[in-house]
Amino acid sequence: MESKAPILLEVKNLKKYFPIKTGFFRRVTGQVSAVDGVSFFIREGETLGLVGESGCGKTTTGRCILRAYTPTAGEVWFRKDGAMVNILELSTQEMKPLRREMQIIFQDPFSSLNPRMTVMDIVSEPLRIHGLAQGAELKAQVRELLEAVGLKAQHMNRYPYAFSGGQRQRIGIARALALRPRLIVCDEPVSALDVSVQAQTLNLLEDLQKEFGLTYLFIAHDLSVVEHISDRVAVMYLGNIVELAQAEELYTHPLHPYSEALLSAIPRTDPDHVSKRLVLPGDVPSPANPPPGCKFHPRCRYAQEICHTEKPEWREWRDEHWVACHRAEELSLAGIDYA
Amino acid sequence: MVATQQRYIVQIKDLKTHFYTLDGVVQAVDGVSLEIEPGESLGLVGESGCGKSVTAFSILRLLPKKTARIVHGNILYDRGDGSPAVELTTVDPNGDLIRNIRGNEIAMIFQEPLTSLSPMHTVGNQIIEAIQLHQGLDDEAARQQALSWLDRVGMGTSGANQIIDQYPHRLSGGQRQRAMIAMALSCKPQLLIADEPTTALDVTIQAQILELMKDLQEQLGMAILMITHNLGVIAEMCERVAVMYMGKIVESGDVRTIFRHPIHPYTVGLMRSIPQLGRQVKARLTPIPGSIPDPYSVPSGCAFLPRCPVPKMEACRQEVPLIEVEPGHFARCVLYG
Repeated sequence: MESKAPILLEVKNLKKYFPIKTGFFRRVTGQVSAVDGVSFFIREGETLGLVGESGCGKTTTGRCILRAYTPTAGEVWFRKDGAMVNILELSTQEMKPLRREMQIIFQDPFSSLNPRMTVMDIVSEPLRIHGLAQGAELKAQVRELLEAVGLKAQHMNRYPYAFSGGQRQRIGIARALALRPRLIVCDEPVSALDVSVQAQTLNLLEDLQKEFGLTYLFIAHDLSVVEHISDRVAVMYLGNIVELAQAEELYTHPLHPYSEALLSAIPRTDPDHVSKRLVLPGDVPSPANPPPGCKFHPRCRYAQEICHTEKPEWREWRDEHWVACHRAEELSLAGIDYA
Repeated sequence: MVATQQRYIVQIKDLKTHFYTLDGVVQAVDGVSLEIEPGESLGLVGESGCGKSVTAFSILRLLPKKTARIVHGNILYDRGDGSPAVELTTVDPNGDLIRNIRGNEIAMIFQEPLTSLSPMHTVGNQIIEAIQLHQGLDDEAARQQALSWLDRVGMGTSGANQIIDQYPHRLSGGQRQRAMIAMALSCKPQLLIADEPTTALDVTIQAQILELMKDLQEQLGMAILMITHNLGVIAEMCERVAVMYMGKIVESGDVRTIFRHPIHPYTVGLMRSIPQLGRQVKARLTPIPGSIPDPYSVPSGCAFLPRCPVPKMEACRQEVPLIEVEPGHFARCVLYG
């Protein structure tokens, strides 16, 4: 099913450093390496899951791709009319038509909708900004969008407070769909929702993907959700992708010790599941002062001399299975048993 | 009910806690009965707004004074010293009795450790305060005890010495939750109420905290009331589980039964809505249709009726009792009446 669709987005060695400013003169005294050299690509029509714990840089990566943040270094190539364009080199004006192709869905359905705007205003805003429709035509499009995400069109004159969390998330999805984008960055779209509503939203995202041929970058911290929705999965730790592979491959045969630990940490819904949990010691180090060598080595049970000093190379270990670990060849790590 | 001489630490009978707001009455807890045995872990699971936290707050009488009222029912608490059970619904929420129980005999940890620790006091002072208040130790002994608790919750001896004089904002989420657990356990409670203790934490930190809670429960022999919406956490931590929906318990039983053979349509729906790891990749989820009803106007009879996938019967519109379907397995559904 996944054969080789053309690549829609390719990110090469993306970096984003945020300055740390202190004192009265706001002098820059350090920097937070939120994203520290990330490379991956997404094929047309697929879903790439991006998982990691808080502060690992997954959201920053998503925002750099949309140029909501200006990256410190790196390239972001996007397929436009059959040719790849590096969107970081485009001027604001050249960027505008490309913005129609890529949209974002946010995590918090409460703060991402302006409480003073009606649903009609919210969903039609992208169309108005890009001058795509007005008057009755605009209204018709909004009606169609609301129906596509399972909301009632007659509610378009209501304000966000009148909707539940799940319904608000649908409004956010309708807004993202308004410009008929090809790529949607879904930034934790279901983590604020209750399980029953979460399942509705996940199904909706899958349906829309089929209907409109969408490509998703799906950012989340819940590994079960990511496994469910993704074709391929990338695991991030402290600003780097440490492993990337087909979802099933990564979950059954992880190559990076961090992926292994993450997978073993998920509480399973099977009361008879015998937990072989690998509890990672300590906390995630600060991205303002990351450890040298492999950033994961202070918490890694397999760490050796080389891991303390040398940064592991990002390499394709098997076909379409990338990893950044010195010991990937010799270790045989435990994944999830598929039933 | 079985009429044996089973001792319960807490026995809740038909508890109703209602909130009186300007917009009307919210029946947050609407007839909950629960028993907690010594040393067991009981899970209370449900989606937001189902009343699971309010049930816990009712036990400790931590409800907002102006709006909340316990309108019906009993909460019997056995102090374990041979004295007759205390009726917690009628004690003065600011009186000496509840203050001796709260934090001492029944302790609680909360979801968001940053907002539940005082930002103005060091972690050590907050733990020492709890120890001195309930055990009357002098400063030095209390500090030593606080240090030993910080060590026991996995900070290490040197870590404990560093952390004890830090303010909460200096700690990471996992460290704060450990400090909260140290504070809660410092008086060796009979019962620990854990309200979404790992929801705000990352998976690897969640794993650390769950392991820690299991270890300490074994060492101290306390009971845990685990409140969470995460079914995985329940499956790992608890022996029995009660599922709540709109202020009522809709199904309860031992964990294996509930996860393997859920019978209430709501429980079945919950189990089917979560993506299961390592199975049916790309299979569609079966969500529960609709969303929870407006808390100000809950339908009479079965509150799940508007979302229920099984044929609706007239009986669903009446009050549905909790039925013991098999020994120890209860469900509130007319299908099993």
